[in-house]
Amino acid sequence: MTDSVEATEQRIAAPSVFSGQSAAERPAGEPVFGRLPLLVATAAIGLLLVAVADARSRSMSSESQTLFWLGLIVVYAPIVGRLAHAAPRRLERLSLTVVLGLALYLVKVFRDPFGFTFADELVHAPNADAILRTHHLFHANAILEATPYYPGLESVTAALASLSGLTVYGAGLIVIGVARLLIVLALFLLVERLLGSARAGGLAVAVYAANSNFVFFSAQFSYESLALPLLVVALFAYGEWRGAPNRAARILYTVAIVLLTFAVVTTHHLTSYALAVTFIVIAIAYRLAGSRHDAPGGFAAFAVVAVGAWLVAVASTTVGYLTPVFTSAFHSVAQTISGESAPRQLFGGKAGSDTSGSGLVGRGAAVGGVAVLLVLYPFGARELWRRYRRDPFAVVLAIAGLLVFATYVARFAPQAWETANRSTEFLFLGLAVVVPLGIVHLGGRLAGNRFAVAAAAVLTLAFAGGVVSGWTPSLRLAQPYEISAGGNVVPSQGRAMASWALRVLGPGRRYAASDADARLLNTYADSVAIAGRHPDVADLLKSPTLESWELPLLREHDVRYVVTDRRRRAFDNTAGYFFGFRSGPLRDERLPKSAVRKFRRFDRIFDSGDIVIFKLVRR
Amino acid sequence: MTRLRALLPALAAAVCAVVVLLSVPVAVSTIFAVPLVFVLPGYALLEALELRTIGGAQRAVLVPALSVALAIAVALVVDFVPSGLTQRSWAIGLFAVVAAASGVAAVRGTSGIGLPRPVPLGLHRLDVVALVVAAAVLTGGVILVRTPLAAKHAQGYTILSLVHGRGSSIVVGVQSGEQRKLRYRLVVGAQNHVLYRNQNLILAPSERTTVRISLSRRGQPVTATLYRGKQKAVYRHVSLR
Repeated sequence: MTDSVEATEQRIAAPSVFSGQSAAERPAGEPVFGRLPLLVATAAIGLLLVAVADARSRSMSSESQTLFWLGLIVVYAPIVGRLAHAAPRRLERLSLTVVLGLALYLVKVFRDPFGFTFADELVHAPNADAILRTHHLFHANAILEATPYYPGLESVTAALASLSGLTVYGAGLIVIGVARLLIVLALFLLVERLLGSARAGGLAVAVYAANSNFVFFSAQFSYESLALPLLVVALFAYGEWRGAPNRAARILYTVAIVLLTFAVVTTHHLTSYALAVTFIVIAIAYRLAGSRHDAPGGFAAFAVVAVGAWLVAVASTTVGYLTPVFTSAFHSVAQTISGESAPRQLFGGKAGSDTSGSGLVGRGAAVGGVAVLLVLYPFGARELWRRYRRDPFAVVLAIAGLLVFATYVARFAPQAWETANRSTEFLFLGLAVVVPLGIVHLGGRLAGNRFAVAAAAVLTLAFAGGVVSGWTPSLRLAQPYEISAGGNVVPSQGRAMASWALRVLGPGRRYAASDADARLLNTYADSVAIAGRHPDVADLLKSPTLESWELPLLREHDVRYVVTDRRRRAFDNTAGYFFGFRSGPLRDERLPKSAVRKFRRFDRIFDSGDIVIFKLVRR
Repeated sequence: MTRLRALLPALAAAVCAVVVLLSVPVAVSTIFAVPLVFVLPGYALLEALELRTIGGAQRAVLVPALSVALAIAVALVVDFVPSGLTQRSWAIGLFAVVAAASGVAAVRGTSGIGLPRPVPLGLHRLDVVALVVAAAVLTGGVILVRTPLAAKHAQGYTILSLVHGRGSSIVVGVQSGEQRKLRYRLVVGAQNHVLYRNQNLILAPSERTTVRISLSRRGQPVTATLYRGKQKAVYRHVSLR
């Protein structure tokens, strides 16, 4: 990994806005790894602080938000300060980006140390389990119908689980860890190649980590968490393909791009569309620039054909899955602009991957983070235009970065919030190219250490803002999923119900359940549990009386068991998996007893207080 | 010599495949499964495509990324085989990919990047101390997050279940998810007569008990009621109609 470090450092350093400082300010005899050991130690200390905050949260003794934030900052700020400094050599920068990426991944792993508890994780884990159980791909998924038809993530996870004997959870952690490694390395190398500076590469990773999904959403066991890194690797490979020194390297990168495109297409729908669109737009940009040499027209054509073929031949259900999402987002934006519907109140939405409950400091960080990026972008864009405007690839990425701010505006439209939030992690790749240029432009007059401190402070604000915007405060920390009582380990009520269902009723049963319970049943009871509003199981379970449409609906879906859960939290697919508070203001809100009693004419086979299971076959 | 060295990834893949197919502990099989899934397929492919033409960092990205892509491809192909994606077919499939790529590299003579030049680490004593501290702190953190903790404010629960057993029997289950050892009273009845009664059922947290009761005829209505301690209020109730 190091044999070409010096050569690469010299080759890419020449034309950069970063290069002068880098060469001049590097102390003679600086070790290859520089401050890496020290910064590994600070990152570990930061992670320990996060672990303590998580532990306090799991024991329900304190929210420990302050400790959590302190831990995050101790992980992020020192590494970013060092990446901003001119002194480190390339290998140290590369290593630091890896440490940063993996340490922030561990923040999510520390949150869920006993099993998957993110809504999407509990959709993908049953897919992987089904592959291990049946030895074949493409099974039905009761929650997200499209997911089994993109089996990339589950295939790799099943391969590792099958070969190693690890659980899907253990294998999934490793797969997503590898994905995290890939995205930070590939982004570093991509930006290094584009801007001709390892320092820019390091700062790009620091900027990208400030996107609202980096710490939690993109670290979950979900198809996008693997597909997006593969997309970035494909873009990196394209960057290398353009600068390939000989025909052999060109062929190597061509094969790599084709294989990676195939992997993305079979792993995640939206990411594959994003990759195809990116190649198309770059090809158009080349044409507009009057150059066809190095244009990715062939890669764009391959991506379009692969996406189309997969959609038609394998994953046609995707159309029905995605169309309502985009249609509703589009209508919502239109209605908000025309004044037909009120804009969404920021920081006031429902629980979940939202910022509801953010305090004044949190809101300040979120707004401040966006403001910082907004200020830095124009300076970076101007610098990019001045130095790199002849490179259509760089220009396209810069435009993508600008679109990040459009997604912030779209967050005001109630139905477009999620689409806007999800697109951020793609478009942030553009900000990761532009913002480092802005940082160097604005801070260029500062001397080495002062510049590093200023850059770290600014980017830490952006990073904190991203974390605030990305995940609701109460769910950033670990929740009581398993607790210790009387020297034994007690699982949460929903988890115990799922284990009971597998042990007593057996696998393959069909249930209607709340969002959280259904996911637990699908994951831990090998069952088919439907939930949510399509079909409208949520209203069926919440209504106080048994309406005329409800039993026919259950029959239509061949449901044999109804799992009622009086905890309103059970209908929240992000918060319903954990122990609740016994008393006090945080105690669970409950549905009226009539929501359960309406099924009394059926066999009542399970009662755990909040959760009651009815068997729908009348005798 | 170059051609022979091109077969080294295939040899390594064979070793990994054999080890994971043996009944070895999970920790050992994981050590051999990880390179078989994440390293060797991509590495062998890059060797076939003249790995030496690209830099070390580029290799570090492409090796795992292409390995993942190839693992997905193997899954899609092996899915068509009747036996499907078993441990053996995974091992054989991934080995086959590595062997094929190594064969191409051997024929083309494209293998052989040589070992990386040793990098002068230049680690000072303070650096070593920092790394040791980091390892210790991280280990402590992992142990802490993996330890289930007491949560005295958590709402406990008790599960009461009732299902049909074999023949005309029924199975009553009680499982405690409470915070402390509790005493219960369990009453199982059918049509105004008691089938089973336990006035002193004591369960520790996470402990469970099962009672099988034979009915005179299958299908008669049965109820099970659980009381907590000496309380008169029904704590849990289940029924078969």
